[in-house]
Amino acid sequence: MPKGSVSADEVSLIAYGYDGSTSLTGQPDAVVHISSEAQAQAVMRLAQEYAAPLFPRGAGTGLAGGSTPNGGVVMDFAPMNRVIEIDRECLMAVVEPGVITGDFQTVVEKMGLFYPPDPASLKQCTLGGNVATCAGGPRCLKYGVTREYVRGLHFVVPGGEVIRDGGKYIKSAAGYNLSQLFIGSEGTLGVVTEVTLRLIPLPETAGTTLALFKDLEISASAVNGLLESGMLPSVIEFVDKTGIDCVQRTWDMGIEADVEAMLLIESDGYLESVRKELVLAKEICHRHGAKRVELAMEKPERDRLWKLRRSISPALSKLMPNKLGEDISVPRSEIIHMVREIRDIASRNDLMIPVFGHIGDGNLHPNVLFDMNNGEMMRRVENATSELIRAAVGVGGTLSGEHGIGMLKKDFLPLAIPSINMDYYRRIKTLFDPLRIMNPAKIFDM
Amino acid sequence: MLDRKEQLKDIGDGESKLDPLSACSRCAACQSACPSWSATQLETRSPRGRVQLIRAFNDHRLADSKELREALFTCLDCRACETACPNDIHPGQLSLLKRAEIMPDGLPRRIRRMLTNAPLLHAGMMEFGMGAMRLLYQQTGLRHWLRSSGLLHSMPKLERLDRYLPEIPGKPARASLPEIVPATGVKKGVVGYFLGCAMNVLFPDAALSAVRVLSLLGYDVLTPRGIVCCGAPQMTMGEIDSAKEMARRNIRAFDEVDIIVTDCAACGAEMKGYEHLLNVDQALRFSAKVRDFAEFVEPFIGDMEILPGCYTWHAPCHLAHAQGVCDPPKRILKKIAGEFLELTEEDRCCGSAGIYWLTNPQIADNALERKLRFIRETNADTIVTSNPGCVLQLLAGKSEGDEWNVKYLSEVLEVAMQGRMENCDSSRETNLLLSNNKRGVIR
Repeated sequence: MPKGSVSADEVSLIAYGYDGSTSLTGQPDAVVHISSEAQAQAVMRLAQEYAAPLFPRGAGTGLAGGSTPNGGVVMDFAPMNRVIEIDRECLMAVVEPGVITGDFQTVVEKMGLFYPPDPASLKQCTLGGNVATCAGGPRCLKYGVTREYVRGLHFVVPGGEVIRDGGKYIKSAAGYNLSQLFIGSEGTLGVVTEVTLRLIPLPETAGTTLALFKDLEISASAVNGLLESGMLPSVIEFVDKTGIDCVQRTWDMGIEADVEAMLLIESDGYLESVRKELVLAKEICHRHGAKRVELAMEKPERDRLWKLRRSISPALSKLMPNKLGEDISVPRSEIIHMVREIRDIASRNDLMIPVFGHIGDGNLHPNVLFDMNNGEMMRRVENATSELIRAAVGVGGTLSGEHGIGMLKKDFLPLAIPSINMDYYRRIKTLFDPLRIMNPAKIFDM
Repeated sequence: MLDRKEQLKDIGDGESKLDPLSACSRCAACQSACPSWSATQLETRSPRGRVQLIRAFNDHRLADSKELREALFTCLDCRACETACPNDIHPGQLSLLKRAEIMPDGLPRRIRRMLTNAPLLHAGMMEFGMGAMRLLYQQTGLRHWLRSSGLLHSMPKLERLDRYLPEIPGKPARASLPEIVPATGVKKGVVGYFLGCAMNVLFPDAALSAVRVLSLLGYDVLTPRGIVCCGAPQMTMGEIDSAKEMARRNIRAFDEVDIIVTDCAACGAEMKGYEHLLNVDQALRFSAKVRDFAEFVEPFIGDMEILPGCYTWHAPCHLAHAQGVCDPPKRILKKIAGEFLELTEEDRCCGSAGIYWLTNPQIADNALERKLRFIRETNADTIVTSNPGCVLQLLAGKSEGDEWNVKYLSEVLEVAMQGRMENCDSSRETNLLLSNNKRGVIR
């Protein structure tokens, strides 16, 4: 290993002990800064020899404690951040795992190409981390999640061998798809050292529709109306009344007091079709009883419409020091039911739980607000979280759409996953990682 | 959630009662904005990392160590993290205050403090030192000899110092700046002018331009003789008590004016922060009077569009992030320049950061390279800015193929105003200072 690539001082051990969740923290025994596949192999070989636990980490922006260590060695992939190739002819890119998602998008967009997955942390999260958690984002309604763009992976398994799967081709019916197994495995099977990503042409332009509703149910019926109309918006985002009120307590956004729900609809493509879709979206929202609808094609105007949605996170932290962002994913037909259920859970447990998220694909983020120093409140938070997840599973959904399970939701996973599936998870894990050194105690216990 | 004032007050005064840092949600939105993170990709060199380390230190989970000091002292104090933070945390300022807290007090520190305080408290001493440097080093041929002999190459720090040091002007600004410069034409009022140390000894032409613009706009300009360094260098070194002393002296010096204008972004940011530093009523009143040059003059500037050439704006961190003054300088440039070109990442640190370019050359060079890449992309021929550190850094990075030069906002604005006056009024009155105008181009 090159000089300076191992840190074991107190300061580094604290700095590599957390991720983007507000409550989970651990401490490793050492941190290795990886800058090549060969180095990753060397670490994996040694770890296998000494049965040392390994904790792979991209930028530490995960929201479920997926990369937080508990002793052992943090494998820091941030330095391994080269874009190896952008192949225009094949519409493919080959990247190292530490490349920052937003930086990658900027690079390909300059070439007229497009990599759609857009997790909220895109300016700081890494593509390797996106693969490990199968990251999503608002645009996944139209374009799909990270999984849909990975066409090949290099991953190193315990012992140091490299599995090279897939490549720069679109179709494959040859053998098991190991890449797809690896995506979303949260570092429990091995580490990614190279990713081949599919790209698509960059849409010419985009436009935004903002629609305000006096009734929750009507807003949900408008979503169905939009999706049944024959158009496919790139984004349909939702904010409930609690979310709107939370923002307006800090900044007045000029939203009337009787508004119960807000929808943000994005269309992208050729100018003519975007124009057409905006008009259609407006018409559909009005037909479904929207109180007010606004359209925007120019950047500053679109930013204005997005302002409330983008202000939610900071607004929430002004109200309470901590928040637990849930990430439930439910069938679209159950969204209304789910939102009502969340309100009940909030009032039963006397907590503030604003809801926002990607209503178009059924992925909602009820955020439980709390103060970690208030023990009594923490019990109510635990209770509410468990009720939320049970409710999501109860309507045929699951507990995480895009954040992953990590440590945060491990205890709840059996609620959503049948025991025979969990049994196969354990067998697969044992096959790749017999000594259980890869990100131990994440997703599920062995 | 504590507001900014409480956050900084509690930390600044040592023992904190509440834990404002718990509002950091660890989202890392600060990370990509941070030059030290971008250069190293290390969590210990990121704002989020520093906040978490400070937290651990406050909670007695982490003791003072060489590594902790490195983490805190590699912050450039560019405050870009503070603009990026969705939760109003101030990682940059918190790092500065923590430096002051953890620095052990020993003889070496006391000697260093004494040596740095002296020229910062006595402008005459700094002027004498720079004058001596000019005579003995730059004019005797010693510099030329050192450069051509190749000796400098074996001493990287000295080589760096030499490369950054511009030709020192023969006369500091103070020598040609009376305590009061009267308004030109109809008098609107009186403003105080804070003459920063670097502006005084390294860029006197630009400082005088700023004063002349204020005078042309109808203000008597008072430059009190009692002013000392704003305290920013001492803050970055962790010498908070020295910085407080400087703040007190400057507050006394400007007792009688209602507006204090400065053309140095770093000084402006420091002085606007006196209210947090001292936390007394006079400091609060003082900070409320401080205006950046662009902030103050912008409302008076009409459309002129008479300067030929292509201009772009490099926003000093201490103006854009620390003071939140982003648009006024660009609005001025758009009004006076023939062509204004946007600079990508205009408010990203150039890596100068006080003497950071000397203490942390690798990170500083990384930031500079990024800045230069975008500057070259604009094809502008004049880079306008308003902070001496940025000017030195950009000039140090300028290579042979670069056609652009760097100017202070005050200089280009003065040229535009003089030009307009010449166009419409040939018999205008000039005061003593105007005849001094060299329309200095910084080399």
